[in-house]
Amino acid sequence: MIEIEDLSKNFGAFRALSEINLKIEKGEFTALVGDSGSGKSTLLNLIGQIDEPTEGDILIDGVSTVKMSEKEKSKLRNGKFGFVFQAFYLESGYSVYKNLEIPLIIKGVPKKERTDIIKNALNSVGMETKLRLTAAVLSGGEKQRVAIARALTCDPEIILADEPCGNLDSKNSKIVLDLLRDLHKKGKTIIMVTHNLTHTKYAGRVIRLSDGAVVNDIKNP
Amino acid sequence: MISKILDLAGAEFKSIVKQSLLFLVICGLVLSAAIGVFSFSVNLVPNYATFLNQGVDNGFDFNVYPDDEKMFFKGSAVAGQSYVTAPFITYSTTLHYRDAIYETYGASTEILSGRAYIFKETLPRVFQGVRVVKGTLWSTEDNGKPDGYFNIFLRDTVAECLGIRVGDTLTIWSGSTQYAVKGIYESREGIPAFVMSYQACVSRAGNDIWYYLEADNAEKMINVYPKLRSIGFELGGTMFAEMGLMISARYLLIVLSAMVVFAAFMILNNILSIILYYRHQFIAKLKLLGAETSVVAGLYFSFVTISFVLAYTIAVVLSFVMKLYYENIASALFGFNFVIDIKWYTLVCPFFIGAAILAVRFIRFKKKVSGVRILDFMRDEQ
Ligand SMILES: Nc1ncnc2c1ncn2[C@@H]1O[C@H](COP(=O)(O)OP(=O)(O)OP(=O)(O)O)[C@@H](O)[C@H]1O
Ligand SMILES: [Mg+2]
Repeated sequence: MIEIEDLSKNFGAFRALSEINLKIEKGEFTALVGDSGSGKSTLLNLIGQIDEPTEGDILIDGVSTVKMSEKEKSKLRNGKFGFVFQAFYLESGYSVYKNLEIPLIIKGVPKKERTDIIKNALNSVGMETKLRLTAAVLSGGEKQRVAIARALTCDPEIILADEPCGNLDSKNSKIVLDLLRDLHKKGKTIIMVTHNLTHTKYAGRVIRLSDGAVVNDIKNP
Repeated sequence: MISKILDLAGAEFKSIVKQSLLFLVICGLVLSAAIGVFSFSVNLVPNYATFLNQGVDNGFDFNVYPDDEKMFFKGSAVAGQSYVTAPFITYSTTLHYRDAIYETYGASTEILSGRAYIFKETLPRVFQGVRVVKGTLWSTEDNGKPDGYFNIFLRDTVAECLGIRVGDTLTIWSGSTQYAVKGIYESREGIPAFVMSYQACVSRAGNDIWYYLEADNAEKMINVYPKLRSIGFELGGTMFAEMGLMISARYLLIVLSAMVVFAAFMILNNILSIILYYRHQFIAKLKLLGAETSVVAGLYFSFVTISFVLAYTIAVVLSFVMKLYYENIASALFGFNFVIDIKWYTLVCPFFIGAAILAVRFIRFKKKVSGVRILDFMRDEQ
């Protein structure tokens, strides 16, 4: 469960988020929508512990994160969250296999166990045959599937997806969204930022941001 | 932790090599050369010192004078040769290198040595080696103990140059037989002489022995040779020039060593900066995926450490190559055997200096890595 309490974020004098209060239950599929610049990515980054709030707190399973050490936050990013981004952020010089291996190495999974985990993760996104390819040669849709597989390697509870279909055509978008839906069915909490309102139908909850504030929060639309 | 670092290093190795192989090779070679020159230099400097201390075989014919015609002990000068009653040994008034020296036993006069004493140029404290040449017989029988003594005359100007004053304790010792006899440099009847007890001398018949005179307070020869030259002493051959050359080479090498250490430091530093520059986004990505700062810093540091160890190994080989090269040059140019004795500690020295530099760099590097913002992984790629 994610509890966001009076969360604000300033970039210099600019207030990107102001006093957000939200509670996201375990297993929810939430879509974050809003105009460009409304603070969606900022909010997602704060939840994912890749940025720090100016004010307020985020509680993950009841534990405050503002007081956490870097080490504890690292652990959250490694095991609790799976990240998916519009621009994939795979390591393009690495093979698909190595891209997936990184979070496992960081987690400290022994080498022998890694192979199975990686193969399973790639299987679940239909990329098992591309194991040895360099990430750079993959198509956009394939890259995003590999990115999702990477997000899954450490079996996270929460998937944070920032416009995962932003760079994909409708066919690949559907593949990705179906994957996210499957993950949701398996019990993962999913928070997905999207511009495309048709994608919100995959979500059980739609939160609309405007100028850094929540203006709409609809469950089961 | 270590296994995480090594696993990540295994994955990252290819990208590093791909992105900057040439750079790494050049850095590695420069680093090797730097460490090599350094290790060689720290070898060479003490070696020069030993070399200078040992003096030079074909040396400095440094004549000993009893001042003018005045002979210190009883004896007589006949036809330009000095004769003296045993056990005293004396010299012709202006004794030169290879001059004959005579000693009388009672009535019979024997030539005990075909060659006279030469004073061998040596360095600190040891101001001269005295060569007792083949055939010299020194009697252990002291007729008239305890005042049997052996005198070596030093021209007072020389003594002055050497920083030896009347009253100083001098030692005569033999490196090969490990005995030493102390005496006082004193003035007898106005003639300064090194006077030592005679009784410790043993028969050296048939031996070719070097003796060294050592003065407790004597100045280093490096410091006095210009003075000696100014009062008319010349080194055999081109020794003065060579010594001067070696002394300046010594300082040059110290400067060189310092520069080399600095260069090595800069190279290590630059490798790290370049890693930070080229792998900035990847570092941010690693952090995004949960890697701790120490793991990330350790990952890149493992490369630097490996390069350092490789460079060090090459450097050790290089310093031996330089040793041979330099020894050959020395013998070709100056005609003397100059052995650079590479010691374990001079090889270990650059290793520890390098390791210390690495340790300091690691702390700085870790700080820089911790300063990489996770959000930087989003910076425009490529
Ligand atoms: N590092 C930063 N420094 C300064 N301003 C920032 C920074 N990051 C974000 N902002 C500003 O904060 C606001 C919210 O940005 P954010 O990226 O969260 O928007 P968004 O809702 O994700 O927009 P988009 O849909 O275009 O991705 C924007 O006005 C942006 O310019
Ligand atoms: Mg955004």
